[in-house]
Amino acid sequence: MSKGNHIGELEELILLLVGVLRDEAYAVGVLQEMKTQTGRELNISAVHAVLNRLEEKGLVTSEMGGATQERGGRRKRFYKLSASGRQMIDQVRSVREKLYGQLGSSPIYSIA
Amino acid sequence: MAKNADHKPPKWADRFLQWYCNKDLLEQLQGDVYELFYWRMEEKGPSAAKRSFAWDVFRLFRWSNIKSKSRNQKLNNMGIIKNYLKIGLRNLWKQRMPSTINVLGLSIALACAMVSFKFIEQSYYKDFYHENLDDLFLVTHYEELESNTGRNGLTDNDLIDEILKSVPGIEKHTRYYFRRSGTKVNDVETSTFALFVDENYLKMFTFQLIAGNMNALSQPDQIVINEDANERFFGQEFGVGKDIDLKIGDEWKSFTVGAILKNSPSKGSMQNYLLVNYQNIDRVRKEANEVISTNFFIQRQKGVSKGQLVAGMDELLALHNKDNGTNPYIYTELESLRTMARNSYSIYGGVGSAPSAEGNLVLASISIFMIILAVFNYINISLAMVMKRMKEIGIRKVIGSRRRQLIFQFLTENFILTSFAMLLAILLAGSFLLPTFNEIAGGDLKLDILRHQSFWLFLVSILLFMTLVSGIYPAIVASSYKPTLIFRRSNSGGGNRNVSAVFLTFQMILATITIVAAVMFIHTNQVNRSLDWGYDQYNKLRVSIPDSIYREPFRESLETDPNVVAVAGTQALIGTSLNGWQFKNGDVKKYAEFFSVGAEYPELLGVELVEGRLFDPTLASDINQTLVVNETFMDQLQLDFDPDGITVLQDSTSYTIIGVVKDYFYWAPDQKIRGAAFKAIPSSEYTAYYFEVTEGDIRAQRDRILEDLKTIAPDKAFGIGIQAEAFDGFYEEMEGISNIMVFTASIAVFLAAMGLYGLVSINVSSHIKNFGIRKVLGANGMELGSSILKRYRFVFLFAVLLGCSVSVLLIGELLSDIYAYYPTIGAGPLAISVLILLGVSFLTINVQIQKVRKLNPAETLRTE
Repeated sequence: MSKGNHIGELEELILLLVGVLRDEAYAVGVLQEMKTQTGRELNISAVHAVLNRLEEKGLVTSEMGGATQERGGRRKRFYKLSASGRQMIDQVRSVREKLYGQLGSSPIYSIA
Repeated sequence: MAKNADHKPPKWADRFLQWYCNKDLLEQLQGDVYELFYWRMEEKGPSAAKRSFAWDVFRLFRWSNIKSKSRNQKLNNMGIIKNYLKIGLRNLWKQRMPSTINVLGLSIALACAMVSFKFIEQSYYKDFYHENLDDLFLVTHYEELESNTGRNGLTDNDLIDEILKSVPGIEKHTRYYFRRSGTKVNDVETSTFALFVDENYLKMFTFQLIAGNMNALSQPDQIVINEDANERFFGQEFGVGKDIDLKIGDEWKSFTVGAILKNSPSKGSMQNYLLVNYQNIDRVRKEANEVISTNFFIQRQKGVSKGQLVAGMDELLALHNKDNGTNPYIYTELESLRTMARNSYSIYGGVGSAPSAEGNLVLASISIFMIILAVFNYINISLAMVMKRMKEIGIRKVIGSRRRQLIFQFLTENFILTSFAMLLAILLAGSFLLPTFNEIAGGDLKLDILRHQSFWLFLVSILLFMTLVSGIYPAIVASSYKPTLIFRRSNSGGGNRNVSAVFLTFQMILATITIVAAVMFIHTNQVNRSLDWGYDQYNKLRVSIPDSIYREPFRESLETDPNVVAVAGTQALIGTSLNGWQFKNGDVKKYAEFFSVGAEYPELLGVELVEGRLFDPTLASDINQTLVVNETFMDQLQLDFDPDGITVLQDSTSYTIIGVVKDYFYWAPDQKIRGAAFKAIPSSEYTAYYFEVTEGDIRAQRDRILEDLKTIAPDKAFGIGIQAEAFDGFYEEMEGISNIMVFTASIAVFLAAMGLYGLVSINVSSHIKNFGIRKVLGANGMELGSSILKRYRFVFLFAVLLGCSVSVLLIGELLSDIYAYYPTIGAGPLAISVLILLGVSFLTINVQIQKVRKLNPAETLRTE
């Protein structure tokens, strides 16, 4: 589980979206939310792959939901943020903020 | 949403997903892509949504989503296949009669296909047995011929010397040159074609040694012979170490047999009979200062390209052309041994002969005919068979079988049946068809299935092909029925009658064509046999004079023989050889046959004079200056006969035409008669006698006279030919072709009849109650029979009309390819063919009619 300590950028985004969507977090939901919130268009296959990976890492849990009309009665698999998932989000955020704080108020750009 | 319900994701993509997707993941994944599909349809419209759907399905095709086959599942599949096989065998057994018909029909067609495959294959790959195949080339060149640029397979021997001196990259080489040479073994003198080759010949090409030493050719005084030559010269024992004298040029030289080779494959290009080291002819050539061109083979060193060799040779041409004024070499080209035989028709003086495209075409079309016939037969019968199993299909479907599974099941059954047919076909081909074919076509084909890879591939692919082609349609039809319809309709016999009728019609058309072909070939043979030869060929014999010293003794012996009516000396013997030369009348140039004969020969031959006169033996001025020509000669050279004599040129010699005779067959009727001219030669140049004997047993006469002549020249080998049998070889060959046609037609009729029989019997048995009731109500045999026959009248009408018109076109073409003289396809042969077809069909249907006639209505109405 050495990989478990780090997550990539897409993984982070999707992990956040799973948290944001709460009870509506399934693959297509994540994909659509990603498009509306970030403008990023993902492939369904990629979403599945990331969700599977997150589940493997123990950051999300999943279970099958009930049947719905819109997809021909097929059930959805819903994802939930696990405790360690929530922890991971917090940890990533604190790392970011710490680093961001060190930038100082007057940003140093390279003009060239 | 309502309007969206009309649009569905592409079915194939959905199926693909279902096929590969892991069962556990299928529901959610399929749900996701469906949901996305509807979402996109709102946003971007149906076609974009469909595209994206397919794209999604492809993107999801990754390892983690693909079904992992569990052990259980595999076992399960095996079980199902095993069940299918079992059910298949039971079904075949249950419906024995139609199954037997199917297997028989398919196996005959397959056996035909196997034989043609073997024949065609070997005609194209006949030289592929040489180990150095890819490195061996025949050196050819292009040169200016009279009218166009032509390719020549013979290379000047001086140029060969230059090439060997200065072109790098040639590992081995050999010249290849046939010349007729006298032979003497144990003082018996004959002659044969000796093949002069360089010492590496046996190392370049692959031949099997039976006895002796493979290096024998490196000794100039040793020769190599093959099995046939060994048998001819030494009988049963091996002749290694024995002597053969050869007459090369004008001198006799003694050689020792150094090795005996196995006969090379009969259709191979390189035919060895008696091989002699080339030095022997080279010496003669140099002494006589003779310029000869021979075939020239090279074996390149590994890694040397064809281009390098050709470039090297082309460099030498300029110098060579300067020394040799006539026919300059334009450029050289190397002909690979792979393609040599195939291209030999376009190379003057090439080696080997091209496969007969016509023969191959005829064979291939015969087997395709057969396969189509058998497949239609099969489709028809199995459609009818399947109709008897409708309830089984219905129940399978209700229980939840998918259409795909049903199709698979039917194809499995079909595979069993086709495999049986294949086994039977191999037996049939190996034990009967191929040996018969070898006899007719004079080949040495064998079925060596295991060692022969391409044949193996052919068998497997044709097995699969037949399984699919013959099985897919019945399987699709059978699996397409809706269970509700199956169960609602109590009597489901018959099936799709239109389709059956179309197939049956097609079969009948093919059968008609083959019958017409057989009838026409037989008829054409009769026509050819009864052709007037243009002279009296009966009671005539011919003998070649083995050596000029026997010319007078032979004549004396023949003239004093009481049974010999007349004798004429000659050089050319009509019917045994051709001799084409160009003749000129002003600007008109035509090739014609040119026969040097004795002055009495035309008269004894019995050609019919049209104008002028034949040679007068008492006139010395006729000798070597006058011609007696046939009518075609006059036409071709645009001449009109003039009793004062008209002159034509042959090369630079001018001849006077003194007489015109009717066209006569100087060669078998496989060629149209062209111009032919007799030239009278002095009696000192006679090399043969043509003589007439008294009426009686011609063979006995021949044997007796031969014996007399043998006492005059005991050391010489010669024979006496019977003029009336001159074209027997041609007639036999034609007989062979028409036998093949008759065989094809018999099988085609047999197949069509079996198809008809199967169809009618299934038809009858599915209407058996109908017949029962009609009998009870008083129908007699005639009425029942006509009701069965009526069903097929249009099929026959159609088949006969179409079959006849197609065969007139097709067979006319075939006949004109094979024969020079053939009758047109008239009403007679067509009527005979139609009668044969209808007769056989009626007999076939009649078997079933008799069954219905004898049927006891009580039996059929009682059961069930």
